[in-house]
Amino acid sequence: MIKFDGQDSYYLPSQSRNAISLYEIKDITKDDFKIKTKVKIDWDKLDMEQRACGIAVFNGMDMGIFCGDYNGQKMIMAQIWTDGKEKADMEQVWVDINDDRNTFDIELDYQYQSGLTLKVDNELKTLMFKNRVVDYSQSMLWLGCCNNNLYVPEHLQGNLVGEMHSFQLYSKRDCVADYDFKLMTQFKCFDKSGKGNHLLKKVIDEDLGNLVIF
Amino acid sequence: MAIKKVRTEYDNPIYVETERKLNEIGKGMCLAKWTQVTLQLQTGHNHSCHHPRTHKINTKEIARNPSALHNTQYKKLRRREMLTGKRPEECDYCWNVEDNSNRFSDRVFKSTEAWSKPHFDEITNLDWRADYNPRYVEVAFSNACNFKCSYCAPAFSTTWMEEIKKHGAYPTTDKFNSLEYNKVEDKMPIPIRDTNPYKDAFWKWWPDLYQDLHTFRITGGEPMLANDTWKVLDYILEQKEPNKNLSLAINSNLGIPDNLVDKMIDKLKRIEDEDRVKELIIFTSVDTWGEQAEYIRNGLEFNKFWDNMDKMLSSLDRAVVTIMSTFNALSVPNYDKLLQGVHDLKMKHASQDRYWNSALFLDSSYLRFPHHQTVQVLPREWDSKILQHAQYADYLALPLFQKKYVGYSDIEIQKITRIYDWAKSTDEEKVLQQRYNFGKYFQEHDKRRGTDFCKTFPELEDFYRYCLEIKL
Repeated sequence: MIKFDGQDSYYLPSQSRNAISLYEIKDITKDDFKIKTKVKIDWDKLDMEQRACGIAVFNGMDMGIFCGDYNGQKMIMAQIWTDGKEKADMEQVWVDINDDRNTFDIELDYQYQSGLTLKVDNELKTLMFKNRVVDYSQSMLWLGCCNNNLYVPEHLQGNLVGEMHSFQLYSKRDCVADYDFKLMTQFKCFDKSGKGNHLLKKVIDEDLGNLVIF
Repeated sequence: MAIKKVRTEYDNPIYVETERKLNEIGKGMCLAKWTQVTLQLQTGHNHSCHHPRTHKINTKEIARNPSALHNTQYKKLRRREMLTGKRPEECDYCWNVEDNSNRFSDRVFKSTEAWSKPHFDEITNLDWRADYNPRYVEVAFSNACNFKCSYCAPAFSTTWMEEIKKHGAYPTTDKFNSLEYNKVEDKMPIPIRDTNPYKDAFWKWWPDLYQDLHTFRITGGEPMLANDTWKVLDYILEQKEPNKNLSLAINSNLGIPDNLVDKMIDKLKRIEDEDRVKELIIFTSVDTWGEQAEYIRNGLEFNKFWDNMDKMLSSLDRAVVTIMSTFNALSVPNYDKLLQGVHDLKMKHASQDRYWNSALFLDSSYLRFPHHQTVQVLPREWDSKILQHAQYADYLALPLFQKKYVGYSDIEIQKITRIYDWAKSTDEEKVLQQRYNFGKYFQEHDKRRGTDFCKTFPELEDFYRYCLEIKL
C-alpha cells in the first residue's frame, strides 16, 4: 500500500530511461487499455481548492480517474479531452458517492477513439466520445495527483489524500504494470507484470529544478 | 543490417557529445587505444581496452624504450586505423553493440572517462607513430593465483597451470586451456623465479610513468601473492612527493589467507590516512550468488569472500569496491540475488566520505572467451531472464548520481541490458559446437574437481544433459 499525503505522488514516465521496459507507457493510449485500482480516499482531507484530485491520470489535458468533494457531493470521475471544432472539449462521466464508503475498486476501460467505461465497485457509467481524443503519447501516468511537474499551478496539481492498495494497467493484449506495493525501495515500486515498468516516487532534481525520470 | 542510431533527449548528453566528437575523427575512434593499457608482464602481452585480444610485446623494443610495453608497433598501426576513419577488427565487441542496438558502446564510455576525455585534442593531433604515456595502467606482475576460475587460463593462474600439467587440456573441440595454445600464442608464463625482461622494463619505466598516472591498477593472478604488489605499495608510502592525483586500484579475489587481507588493509589504510592518493579502489570478482558462484570461481568460499568485502569497506572509510562480474551462462539463473546482495552492501556502507558516490559498484561485463561458457550458448528462452535481471537492477536504481542517493547507476544497469542485447544477437547456426563443448567441459570439470554441475545448477540440468547428447 502507498499513502498519499497531499504532496507526494508517483508516476510512470512515457519512456524508460534505461530502456528496460517491454511496453512503454507512450504506447498505451494508442489503443484500448484498462486501469484497475483499489484506493482509499480520505474525503475530509481533500483540498478542494484544486479542480479535482487525481487517482490515476495522464497529464497534459488531464485524462484518467479523478475524485472530488464538491459542496458535500462526493464523486469519482473519468475524464478525457477531445478535439472540438474550435477548442478541445472535456468529456466526463462520474459516479456519485452518497454513503460512507471510502475504499473503492475502480476500473477505467478505454476503447480507442470510441468511448470509455468507468466502474466504481458495482456501478457502471459509460461515455461515448463526441470527437477525436487528443494525443496523450507524451504524457506521464501519475498516481495520487493530476500533475506534479514543478511548473503546474497548485490548483491544477490535483493532489490526493488517501491510500492506494493495488494498481494494474492493461494494454489490449496483457498486463503492462502491476503493483501490490509490497516490494518497494525508497524510490520505486516493483512492477510484477514483468514488463519492467517500475513505478517512480516523485524526486525533484534540486540543482536543475526538474522532475527526475529514472 | 546495422541499426541506425537515433539519439533522443533520454540519452545522456555527455555520452551523446563524446560519441559525436569521436565520430568526427572516425567511426572507429576510441581514446582508450592511447590512454589505457593492460600489461601482462608474466607473459609479455598487452592490450589497450580489455575487449581486443592481447598481443605480444617486443623485447627489442622495450630494451630501447621501456614505454614500448604500451606503445607497441602493432598498436600504433591500430591507432592509425582509428585516426583514418577505419574500425580496427580487434575491437568488434563495440561494433557488435553499435550494430545491434541503439546503446552506447564501451568506446564511448571509455573515451568519456576522466583518464581519457581531457586528452582528446592532444591525442587526435598526435602523429600515429608517437609514443604516449597511458593514464590508466593495469598491470599483472605474475600469474600466481590460488583460484582456478572456470573461464580463466594457466597464463593467469598457477593452480590452473598445475591442473593442466597434470590432466592436460579439456576435451572440447578447441582443447580448452591446452598449453599448446599458450605456446602458439606465445603466452607461456615466465616462471616466477626466472628473469623477466618485461618486469625489468616496467621498473625502469615506473618512476617516469608514476607521476603521469591517473589510475594504476594491479591485477594478476592474485596480486596479494606477488612481491611486486607490496613493492608498489611501499614505493607510494615512501615517496616524499607522492602523486596525489593517482587513483590506486588493486584487484584481489579476496579469497587469500586472513593475514594477507589484514596486511593489505593496514598498508591501504596508511595510504588513505596520509592522503597519498586521490582515491583507492579495490576490484574484486564474483559472477553470481552462493554455491553457484563458488562453482564458477573454483577456490572461492562465498561467505568468506563476502565477509572480506564487508571488512574492507568497514576498515577503509573512503575506499570503494568494484565487483567485476564476468557475466556468463552460469550467472543467468540467480544474478538477481547478487544484485540484491550488492544493493544491501551499498546501503550499509553509503557515506559522504567515500571517494566515489557509492561504496560499491557492480560492473557486469559479458564473458566472450571461452565461447562455450558465454550466455550465447544457452537456449534463447534464457534471454528474458537476463532482461529480468536488468529490470531488477533498474528497480534498485538511484534517481541521480549523487552521494546522497544509494542504488544502481545508469551504467551499472545499462551494462546488464547490453548483455541481453548481445545474447539476442546469437547466431543459432554457429552455437551447436559451443553447446557440445559446454557439455564436454563441465563433465570433465566435475570429474577433475569433484564438483556436481546438476546439483549446483538444477535450473540448467536439462540443458546440460541436452549438450551431452550432441553429436558433431
